[in-house]
Amino acid sequence: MNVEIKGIRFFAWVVEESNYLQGEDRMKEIFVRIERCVGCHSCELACAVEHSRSKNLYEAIYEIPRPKRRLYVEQMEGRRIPFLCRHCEDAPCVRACRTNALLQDPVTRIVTHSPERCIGCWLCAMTCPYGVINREEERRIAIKCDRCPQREEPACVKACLTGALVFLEEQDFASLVRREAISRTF
Amino acid sequence: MGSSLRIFLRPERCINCYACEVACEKTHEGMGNIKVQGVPLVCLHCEVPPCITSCYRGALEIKEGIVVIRKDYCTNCGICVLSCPFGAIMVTEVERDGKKIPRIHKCDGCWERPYGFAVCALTCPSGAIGWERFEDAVVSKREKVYRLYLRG
Amino acid sequence: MRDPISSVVCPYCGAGCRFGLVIKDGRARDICYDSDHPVAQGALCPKGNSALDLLYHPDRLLFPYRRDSHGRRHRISWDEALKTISTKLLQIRSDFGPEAVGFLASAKVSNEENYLFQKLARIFGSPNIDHCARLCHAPSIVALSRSFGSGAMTNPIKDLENARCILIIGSNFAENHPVVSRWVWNARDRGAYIISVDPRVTPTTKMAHLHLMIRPGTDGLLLNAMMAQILREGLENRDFIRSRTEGFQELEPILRSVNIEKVSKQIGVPLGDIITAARRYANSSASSIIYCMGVTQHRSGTDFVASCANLALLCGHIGRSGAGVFPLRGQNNVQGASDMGALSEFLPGYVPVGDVERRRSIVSLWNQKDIPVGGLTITEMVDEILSGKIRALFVLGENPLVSDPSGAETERALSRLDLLVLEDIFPTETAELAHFVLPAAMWAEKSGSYTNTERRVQWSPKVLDPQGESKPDLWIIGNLGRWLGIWESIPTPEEVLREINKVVPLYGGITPERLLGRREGLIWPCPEENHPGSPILYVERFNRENGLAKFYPYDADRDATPTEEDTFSLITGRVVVHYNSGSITRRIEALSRYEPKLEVTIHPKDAEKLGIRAGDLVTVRGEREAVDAIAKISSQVREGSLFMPFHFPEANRLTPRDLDPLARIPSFKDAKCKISTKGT
Repeated sequence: MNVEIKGIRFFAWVVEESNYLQGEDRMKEIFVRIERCVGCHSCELACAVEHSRSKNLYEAIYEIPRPKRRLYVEQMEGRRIPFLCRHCEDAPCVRACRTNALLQDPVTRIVTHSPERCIGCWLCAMTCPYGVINREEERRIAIKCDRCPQREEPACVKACLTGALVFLEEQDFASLVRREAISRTF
Repeated sequence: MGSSLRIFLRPERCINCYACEVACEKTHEGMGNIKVQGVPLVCLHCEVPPCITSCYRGALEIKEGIVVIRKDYCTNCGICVLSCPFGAIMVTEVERDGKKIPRIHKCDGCWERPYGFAVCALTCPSGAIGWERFEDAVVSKREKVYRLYLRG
Repeated sequence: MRDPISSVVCPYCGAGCRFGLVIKDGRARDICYDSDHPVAQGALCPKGNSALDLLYHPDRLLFPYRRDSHGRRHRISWDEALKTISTKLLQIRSDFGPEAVGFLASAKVSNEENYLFQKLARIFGSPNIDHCARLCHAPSIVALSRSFGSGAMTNPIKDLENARCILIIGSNFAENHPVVSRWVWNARDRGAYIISVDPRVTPTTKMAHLHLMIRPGTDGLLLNAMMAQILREGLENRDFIRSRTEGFQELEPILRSVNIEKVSKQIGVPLGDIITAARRYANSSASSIIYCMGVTQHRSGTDFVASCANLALLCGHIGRSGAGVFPLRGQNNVQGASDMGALSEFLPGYVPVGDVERRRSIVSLWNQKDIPVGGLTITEMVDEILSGKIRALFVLGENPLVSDPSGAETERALSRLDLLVLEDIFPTETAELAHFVLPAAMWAEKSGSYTNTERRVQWSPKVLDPQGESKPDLWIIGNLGRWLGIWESIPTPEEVLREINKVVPLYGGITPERLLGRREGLIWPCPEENHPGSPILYVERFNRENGLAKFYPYDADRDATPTEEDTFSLITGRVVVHYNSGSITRRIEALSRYEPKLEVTIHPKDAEKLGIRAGDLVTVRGEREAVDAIAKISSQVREGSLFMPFHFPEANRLTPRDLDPLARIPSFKDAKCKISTKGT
């Protein structure tokens, strides 16, 4: 199948790739488009609320332990960048964890953290190349992104107003980028 | 607690030079608490330490974020050695009254040293062992990622 | 109450770290770390950490002694020792002429002691003064002096963290100068690209993004190929070449004719890697080159260093923050000893001995008309001893038996001498041959200034009393000069430094008053009293007469020699816990337990071919001799090469005596040898 954009024909794979592969092992991931981030911190707020007991901003602020965010929007040299867990293929934090508090789902590659096993040694934080494992002060254990297991779409992505965070499958993200590139070119 | 200094390793930086081992042994009368095998292996001063949980005498305690052994309570039973997931609690045989007896020792953050604490962190030539605020260390990691992103 | 802390300079490598000694009841009890010091922020390597074991080691020499013809030691008094030595020296001078006496200065003693020692040698009438910079960085002094104008590091070590690309060639600083790795890691964390060129896998190559595992001895080919690629892509800095250099037209045709594809096969590195390295080095905003003995200790060491300089000049990566050439020096005062003119071809301040006018003006300050010229270097002295021209040797704190190439020949030579005087802190291998052994005080037991690899001159005060009858080297040299009738009084270190201020313009403003108050020292050139020192060289102009740097072309293709089958090339090098000839570190248990015995590293495939298993005792057969070592099997070395640390007396028995024609450095890094299990 061919498509036509502004009078030029393209092969279908450019646009239609997302429909190409379908099966159980296709997982969505959170992708970051750094240039779109304006540093509004909505994602951080949404993340903290999502990980509260009440799931409501007005109640959450009085909760103990205080709900904490799991992703971090940092401002560096005038740029704003959201840092969040990449759920690495061969996650160094999982390899470093000696108490099996961090476990990785072999299919979805999501790294989950069980607070009851965590001893607060911070070896995970030391080995994480992105610096996205933080500490919860009250319980003195590690906290990290769990990609919102109860939700269809993670709270941070839902809250992102500018489309800096997108929740897509790898191929979809790639084709999204390609589509954008094409529309910029022509 | 939240803002206190704690040990923070950068394992990728370790150049296996044994400086920390030599310095630690010098400071602790030959009973070194750190070992290097490609990465520095030392007590990480866990915040929910299994050694404290397991010790039936209550001989281990957290003092300003540092897990220390109270020598007069310790019976050298070795249960903490078994419970430590990192093998950071060491056993050395020492001679006393002509007999060899095991002594339990572990990193004390150079608690009693008057000339600056944590000699391993002070001496590490490559900066693999740091003694800093947790938040600062994590943010410096993110900064590193940012610089890599800039480099392309 | 805290005990007083005295800050001293570390006695080991050339990085020049400082640490505090906690002194209680006249004894050093502890080390404390000086976190504000600019070299390494107080960090120390294992050697620095074991400095106390060194001070109070039971093996220390405490009394002067004489060895009789049966090898028995007789303790003598200082007066007797100095009197006999000076009488014998005068006797040899009147019998065979002053050229029959050789003097070996030391890179381990202070600037003042080296200055006085070379002055003593030269006024005594002997041109034969040299020290072990000959064995490590003589090519750097020669090549960098003629290219840039000074043979030293261009930027401070700390400045490495501002680099955007670092090319490490022939240096394993993670083991030899561990504190340097801190700044390289910082640079890497700031986004710098690290390229390492090394025929071995080492802790240094671990920190590199790109590791070029070249065949030993092909550094020149690689550097030329990189430059050729830079020219081919037009990445050279034309503005810089035009305005600040000369001689490029001679280099260009050589580089244009380089066939990179062929070089890639010769050096055994993929073509893509060479191109990546060239592009990264040329394109970054500030690139640095770190090199060390892997470049210098070759038959063409001077040319290799010249190639490093050419590469930096070609891209204009010099004279800015983060951009420079970093030759890492090995010993705490090897830079200072060279500055003080303890080399046969240079007078203090790198005045060539052939330059009659400047030489006369210097020696007139010593109340002399002229001094002899045309001295011999360390390796040549050994040859001349064998030919009978040199009859006496005065060695100041060196261990030539272990550190010089072809150990057997050196041993034969030293045992032929009429008079061998050794001044040292430990009874080294050389002491077994010496007629007189004089005990020297250690670094914390005397004061003096030391110049580290980044040209930082630091004062190390006397904080302890010398043990036994050991004496500061300055006292020994001064007294010897008195007995020889060269001068009347023994100067203090401060007085000598004041004389240096007058004689050496680079040190003009580094007065004792200024140095004593500054823990961080001063960086030469510092010509005047109120000059702040020059951390970065060549910002405006180069030190050559016309202010331009010069390209020295090197046709690397000429030197490429094919290796024979079943001959291995032996790389000698250092390991982290040992220091140079090992006479210190092999005695310290805290260090030697990590590397107690001589091991030779061999690639698993070679080992399988020869039936060598890990831990086997093997015989390594060099051109002249064979030594035994324990086999260590590891793919850290290339196929066809072996590695052996030179801290053990055996290693340098295998190295050849081939010299670089200009710098006269022996080629320690590519000895040819064969290996087999012992007994076969």
